[in-house]
Amino acid sequence: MVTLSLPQRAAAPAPPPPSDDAALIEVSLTDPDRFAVLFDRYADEIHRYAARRLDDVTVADDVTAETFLVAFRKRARYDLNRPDARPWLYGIASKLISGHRRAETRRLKALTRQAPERAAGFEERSAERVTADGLRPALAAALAKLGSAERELLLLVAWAELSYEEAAQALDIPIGTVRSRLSRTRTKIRRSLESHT
Amino acid sequence: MNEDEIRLVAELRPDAPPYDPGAKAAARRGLAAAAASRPPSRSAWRRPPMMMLAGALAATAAVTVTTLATGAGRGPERGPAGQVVVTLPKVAPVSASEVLDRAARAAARTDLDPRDEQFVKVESETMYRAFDMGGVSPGTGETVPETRHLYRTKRVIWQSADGTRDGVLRIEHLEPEAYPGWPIPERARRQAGQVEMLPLPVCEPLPDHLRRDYAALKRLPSDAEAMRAHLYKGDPGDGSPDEAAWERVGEMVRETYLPAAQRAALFRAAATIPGVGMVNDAEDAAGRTGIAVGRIGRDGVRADLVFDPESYELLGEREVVVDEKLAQAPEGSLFASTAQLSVTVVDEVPALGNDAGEDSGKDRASGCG
Repeated sequence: MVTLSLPQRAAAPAPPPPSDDAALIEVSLTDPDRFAVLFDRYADEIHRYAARRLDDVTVADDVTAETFLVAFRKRARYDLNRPDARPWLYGIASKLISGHRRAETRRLKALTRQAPERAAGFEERSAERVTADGLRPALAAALAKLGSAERELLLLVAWAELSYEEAAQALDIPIGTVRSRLSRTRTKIRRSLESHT
Repeated sequence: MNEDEIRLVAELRPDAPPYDPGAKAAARRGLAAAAASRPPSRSAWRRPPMMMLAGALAATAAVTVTTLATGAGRGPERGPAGQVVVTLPKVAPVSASEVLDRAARAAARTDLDPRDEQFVKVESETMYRAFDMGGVSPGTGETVPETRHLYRTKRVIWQSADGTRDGVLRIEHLEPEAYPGWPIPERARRQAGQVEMLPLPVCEPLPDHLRRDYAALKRLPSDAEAMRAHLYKGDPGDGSPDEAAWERVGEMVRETYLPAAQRAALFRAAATIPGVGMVNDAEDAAGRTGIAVGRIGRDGVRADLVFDPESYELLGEREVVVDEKLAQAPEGSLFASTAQLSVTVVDEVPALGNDAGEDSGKDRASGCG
């Protein structure tokens, strides 16, 4: 059963898309088509994250599509106290990405080689950039060596820019675990970098 | 603790190739197909139906048409596709406020006042639009055709008076109706007669604006002016605050028990919404003749609240096409029809069987993911 409003106005059971994701998901329980609004809101962002982590953009396409299908199927279990659905979607995407080991490994390998493209005149933070660029191969190698749970968390924070709280929601782990796991991960990276220099 | 390593990793972040529009469109179509091909599954109904409409359509179309004929004294017709068509009564805006004022005064006559540990039980029948967007089913690869119909259910909902206890929703699917100009899909017909018993788990406290439990409703303003402000709270952002306010009126009385003071305030506040007008000879879904107050939306559909012409109690809701072009359906077509049949206070909810959902096992224990 699918109910949908006419374009101009919400049908009776479907008020205009709520701005709050939780309310939208709630509406989609009775009006499944409404879930597409969530896709419209976040598909680009999720795709960007998947495409950064995977070496093959068609795999990123698949991961994005599958993320929203999985989310749709699980929507009845969404915690309606969370107005922002991004952590939840990132969590689903993370699991799917980790199922594409090869594409991810290829990405990390590519990162060890790739010279970063840098726009001319990009002076801000240039000192940091230089450092990062010099460390690039070692860093990518360190990332590749991390355990998958560590890498998932680290990249959600460093690449998807989730807060600790959001990362905890995404991975369904306590915030304390986020802190301790990140701390451990940092130590590993530091050691790995030291051993490279 | 320094975060240098995290910053370094952030710097390593590669650029993302653009999302190919074709791939994106395909993903969206796949999602739409999944939504469309999904039966009204248990999981889809499991959460408290804050946004669900209650109300009722007690009769089949044929019966409805008959009662409409006697009630309105004008000939409703069955259109070529078998859709429900009623003759449009005239809107007489002058007396909408009078109807709502009587409804407000009537509100004071009943007050259930459930205790915190009790449940509000609402029985209703509903008919609403169902659109299936069609597309390719991601599972089977089959092409699912686009369909439209009017789906009908009989609903009984038990909701915790203070919002802290799990509720239950019973849905019985009734024979669907045709959407103007569209054949009734076979899938919709097969659903008729199916009964679902669904838990409505309380997870963590809902945000206040989503709560419709008695305790939360009781905290709403009891004077018309403050209630009006409540109706207009939150800009819908689409330039239609009055339409949004009128929709909110419907939401507040749908499958709820609104305490007498708030109900009176709501109806008085509703009378001040621009564009609200009176409709004579309105039928609810149970075939009861009433007097309605409605407001025409930007889609050319009038949303009515139907009241008993003598007691001025709320009977149900309707959506009637008034602008054929905008609504893309014949004038007079019913897009929704409901009837609230009873609202009572009970001590317990019915027990649910073991087969309470597709996610059986420990997931089901709470239903809260």
